Amino acid sequence: MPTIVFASPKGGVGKSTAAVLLATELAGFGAAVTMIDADPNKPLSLWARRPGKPNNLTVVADVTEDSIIDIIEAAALKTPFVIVDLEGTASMMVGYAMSRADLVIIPVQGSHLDAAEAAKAIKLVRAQERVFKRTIRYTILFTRTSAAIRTRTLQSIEAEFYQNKIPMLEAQLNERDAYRALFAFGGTLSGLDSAQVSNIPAAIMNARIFSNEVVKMLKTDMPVALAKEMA
Amino acid sequence: MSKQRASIFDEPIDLDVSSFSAKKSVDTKAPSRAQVKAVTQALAA
Repeated sequence: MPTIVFASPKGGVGKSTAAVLLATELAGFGAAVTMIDADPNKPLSLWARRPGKPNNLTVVADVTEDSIIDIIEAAALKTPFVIVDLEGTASMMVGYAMSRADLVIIPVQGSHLDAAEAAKAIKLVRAQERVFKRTIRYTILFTRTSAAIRTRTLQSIEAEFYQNKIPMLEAQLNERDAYRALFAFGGTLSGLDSAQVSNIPAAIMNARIFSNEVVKMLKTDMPVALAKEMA
Repeated sequence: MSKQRASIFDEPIDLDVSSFSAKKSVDTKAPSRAQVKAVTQALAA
């Protein structure tokens, strides 16, 4: 049932990577998933053309501003999960997709520039909530973080989001060779060749922890921030 | 704030996706395209 939208006005923050990781994890546990590739660079479509895409995962491309709402609504009637990967710019398409989202995930790298761009996405979510008087759950996902070091910049950004009551996923997607390899070879993390890609088990575990947190979040109707406070 | 870290020593986690299903009908309470456009444009202005 959930429609999960990955949004950030900034490109290169890991939207497509996070979307593919979540989609392949869900599909790997038996859920039918539709991915909507609304990025003009078509990263999901390029990934899907390579071998190894799960059979229960469908990628829909050729999405326009005029069609995205209809495509999301049609997909939500067909598969339990709909995942939308948006372009890395502020556009009307972002607003349309958010209006149909059960959860908006805003990927952010550990930089103040990314955080400022994420704030723009949050403002759009909040504007829709205010005007339409409906809750749109959203959360920050830190991406490309170090598995070993939590930088001071990242800590300061986390503290700023926390002070402003911006929900953040506990899980972070670390910078990993395996995530880049997904787009080079296609398929899933478990389908990668350990002779060609380093540390695949850690990448799988990282993706699993992220996906598990998202699934848990989707199972509660509570606002994200409240759910985290009560945890 | 403690952060979860991926570790190959952690226990494997299974995702329970059994309770999710496709929507039965379109959400008729969702805002129209024109309403969304107006909000997005107002924010950009």
